[in-house]
Amino acid sequence: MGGASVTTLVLKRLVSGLVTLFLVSLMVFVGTEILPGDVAEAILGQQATPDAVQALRDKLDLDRPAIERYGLWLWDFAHGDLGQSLASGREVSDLIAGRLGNTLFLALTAAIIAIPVSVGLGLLAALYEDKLADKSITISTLIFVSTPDFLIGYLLLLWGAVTLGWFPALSRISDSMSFIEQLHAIALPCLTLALVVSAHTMRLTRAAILSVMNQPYIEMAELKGATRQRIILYHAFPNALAPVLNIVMLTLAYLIVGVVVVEAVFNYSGMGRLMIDAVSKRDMPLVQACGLIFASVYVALNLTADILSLLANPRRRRPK
Amino acid sequence: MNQRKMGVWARPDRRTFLKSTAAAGLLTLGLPKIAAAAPQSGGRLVLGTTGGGAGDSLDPTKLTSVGHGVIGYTLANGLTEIEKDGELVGELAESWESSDDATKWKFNLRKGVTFHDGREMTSADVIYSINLHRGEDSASGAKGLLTPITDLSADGPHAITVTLSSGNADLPYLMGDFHLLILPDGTTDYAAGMFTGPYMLKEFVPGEKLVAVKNPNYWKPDRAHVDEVEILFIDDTTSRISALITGEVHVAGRVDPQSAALIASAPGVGIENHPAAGHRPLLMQSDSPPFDNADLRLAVKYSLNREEILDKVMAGFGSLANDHPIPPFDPFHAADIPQRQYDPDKAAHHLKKSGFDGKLELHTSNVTFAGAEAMAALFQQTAAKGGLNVEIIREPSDGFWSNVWMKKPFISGSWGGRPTADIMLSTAYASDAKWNDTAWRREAFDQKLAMARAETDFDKRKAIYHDLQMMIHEDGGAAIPFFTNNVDGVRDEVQGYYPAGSFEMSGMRIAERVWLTA
Repeated sequence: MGGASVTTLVLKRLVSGLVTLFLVSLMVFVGTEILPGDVAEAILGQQATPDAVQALRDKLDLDRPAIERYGLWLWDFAHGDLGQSLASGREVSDLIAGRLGNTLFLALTAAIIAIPVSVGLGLLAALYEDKLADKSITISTLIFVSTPDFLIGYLLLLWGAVTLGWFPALSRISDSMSFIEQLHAIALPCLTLALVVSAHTMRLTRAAILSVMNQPYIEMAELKGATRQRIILYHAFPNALAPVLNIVMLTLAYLIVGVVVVEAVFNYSGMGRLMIDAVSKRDMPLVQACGLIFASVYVALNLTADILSLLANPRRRRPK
Repeated sequence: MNQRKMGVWARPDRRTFLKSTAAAGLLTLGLPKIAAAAPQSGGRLVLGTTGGGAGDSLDPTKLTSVGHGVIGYTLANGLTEIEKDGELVGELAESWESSDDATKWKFNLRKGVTFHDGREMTSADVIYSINLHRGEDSASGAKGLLTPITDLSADGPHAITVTLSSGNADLPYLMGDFHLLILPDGTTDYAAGMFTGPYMLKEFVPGEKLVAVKNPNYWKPDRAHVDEVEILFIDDTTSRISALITGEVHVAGRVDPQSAALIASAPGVGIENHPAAGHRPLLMQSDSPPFDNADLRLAVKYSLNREEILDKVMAGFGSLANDHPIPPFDPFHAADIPQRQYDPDKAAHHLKKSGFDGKLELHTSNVTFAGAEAMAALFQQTAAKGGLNVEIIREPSDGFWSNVWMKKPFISGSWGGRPTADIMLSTAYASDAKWNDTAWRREAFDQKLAMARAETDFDKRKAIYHDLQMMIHEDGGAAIPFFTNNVDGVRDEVQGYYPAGSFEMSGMRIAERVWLTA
C-alpha cells in the first residue's frame, strides 16, 4: 500500500515536472526575446556592416514572428531534436555533450567533499549548541556564506596558484589526463564550490536538527536519561533526515546549476560558460537546451529528495 | 612623481628598455654581452587570448575578434602583411602594381607556396578565397571593405587583377585584412583548417582552444620557430593574467591598464605596451539640436581634460588625441594641428556664443570600454568649471550598440583602430557612411576624401588628409581625448616580439614571429 502511494507520488511529480519544464522553456524563450539586441548583431560584433547583419538575419529566419520560431523549436524538441546553434550552425547536442560531463564531474566532486563535511559539521554544531565548537563553526561558515563565490574563487586562485603554485590557474581537463591529474586540475574550483555550499548545508542541517530537538519525544528521551549524543544520533537525526535530504539535493542542484561564475574564474569548460556565451549571442536553441537541462536537474533532484524522504520516514507515507 | 612614472609607462618600448638596462648591468659585471639572440627552434608556445565562443569556426568569413585573428594567422596567410612600423609587405602576393588612377590593380602571387596537404597555391585559390567575402549574402566582416571591387579575375596561374569602381590607393592594405585568408579553391569544409600558414591544425575546440603543429614545408624561411602552438580563449581578465604569472600561458593578450603595473613587477613577466589607433570619443549628433551648433561642440571639446583622463582612466596607457581619429603614428597624421587643451574659459566663451543654457544628457556605459563611466564623471566635473551642465545617464550594457549608439544625441563611444586613414574616415566621417556616428555630413569633406583615396603621390595625399583632419578637429562631432595602447603580458622566455599594425599580439601574427628560449 505504501508502495502504491510512492508510485502515484512519483507519477504526479513527473507530470508536474514536465509542466514545469514547458513553463521554463516558455520563460527562457520570452526572456531571450525581450533582451535588447539581436542575434545577428551579437554574432557579427559591433563592427559588422548593416548589410552583413541583414544577410545573417535572413539566413537565420530571424524576421519570422517570434511565436512561429518558438513553435518550430518546440515541435523539433518534442521529437528529440535539440536543433542547431544559431551562432555556429552546429548541433546543440554536440556542443553540450562534453561540457555537461565536465560540469557534472566538477559538481559531483565538490559534492562528495562538501556534503559529508557540512552535514557532519551541522551535526556537531547541533550537538554542542551554543558551545565554542558550535560558535566557531557557525561564524566561519557565516563568513563563507556571506562572501561572494567569485571572490572566494579569486582568493583561492591567488593563494593556490599564484602564491604557492600548487594548482593550475586554468582548470583544464582532457580525456588524455589520468583521473588524479583531472582532480588536481579542478582542485581550486572544486574547493571554491565546496566552501560556498558547505556553509548553507551546514547551517540548514543544524537548524533542521535543532527544530526536531524541540519535539515532545526528544524531551521524553531526555527524561528517560539518554545522553545528548544518543538523542541527536538516534532520535533527532533520523527524524531530521527528510529536511536534511532535501538540503543535500538542493545543494547538488546548486552545484550543477550554480557553477557559472566559478567556471568563468577558472576558465573551466562547462555548461556555465556555454550558457553565458549563448545568452550573450542570443543563441535561442542553445539557451533553451541549457535552461532545460538545468531545470531538469532541479526537478529530478527534488523528486529524488521527496522519494528518499518518504522511504526514510514511514509516517510521511500515510495520509494525515 | 606619479606623473613621471606614468611618463615612463607610456613609453612604447618599456620592456625593451628594462631589458637593455639589465644587459647594461651584465656588461659592468664584465660578462660578455650576449649577441642579439638568433631565433631558437622548438618548444610549445601557449597564447592566452580573448573573444572566443562556442560558435566559433575556422570559416574566414566568420572571424570577428582578435582571438579569431590570432588563430587565422597561426594557420593561414593573406595576400599582404603589415610588418614592423606599419610597413606593408607582400605575403602570398609577391608584388603589385596599379593604374595611375588606382582603379585597376595586379597582384603577382608568390610561386611554389603549398597548402598543408601539398597542393600548390594558384590564382584560382586566391579568387575563390576573396569571393567568399563578396556578394549579396556574404555575412563576412570584410564585406564592406570589398564592395568597391567590381571585378576579380585570374591573370595566369600566378597573378590576379582587381578592378575597382573608384580609385583606391590603399587596396594592398585592404588585402591585408585578417579575414582575407587564402584557402584552396572550392573549400566548403572549413573544419579541416586547410591553409598555407606556419602551423597545421591539430585540434580545435570552439571557444576553448586551438592546437597546431609546425608546418615543415612553410614557405617563409625565418618564421614559425616553435614546434607546437596552443591558443587558449580566456575571456576573464583576472584568470588570463593569473595564468600568465603562473606560467600556464606565455603571452596574455589585452591586459587592462590597472593590472599592467602588477604584471611588470612580477618576476619572469613583462608587458609589451605599444600605441594603437583605438579611441574612446564622446559622440555628438551634429545634425540635430543641441549639437547642430558648432560652438556647443567646441565647448564640449574644450571641456575635456585629456591628460587627466589618460592618467586616471587609462593609468597612462595611451596617447593624447586631438579630436580627430588619425593616431600620431599614422603616416598621414597631421602633427602640426595644435593640441587642443582643457580650457574652461574658452569652453565658457563658446558655450555663451552657442546660446545653449540647458543640461546635456550624456549616455554612457562601460560596455564601450571599461573606463567609460569614469571618463564621463571626470568630464562632468571639468565641464562644470566652464559652466557646462552635464547629467550622466548610465545605460544597460545589453543593447547599448543597437539602442543608444547612433540614436541618442550625446553618448560615450568606442572605435577600434582601422588599418588605414582612409578606412577610418570613410567608415565614420563620410556623409554616406553607415556608421557616421556623429551625424556630421560635409560635402567638401566627402570630395576631398575621394580625392585622397585615389591619389597615389604620398605628399599630395598627405596634404589632403591634413585638411580632412583639420575639418574634423574644428567642426566635427567627436570629442576624442586619447588613443589606446595595445598592452600584452609576455613572459621573459618569449623572444622576438615586435608590434605591427593596429592589432595586439604583434598584429595577431605572434605565433609565427616569436620563439622560446630554453
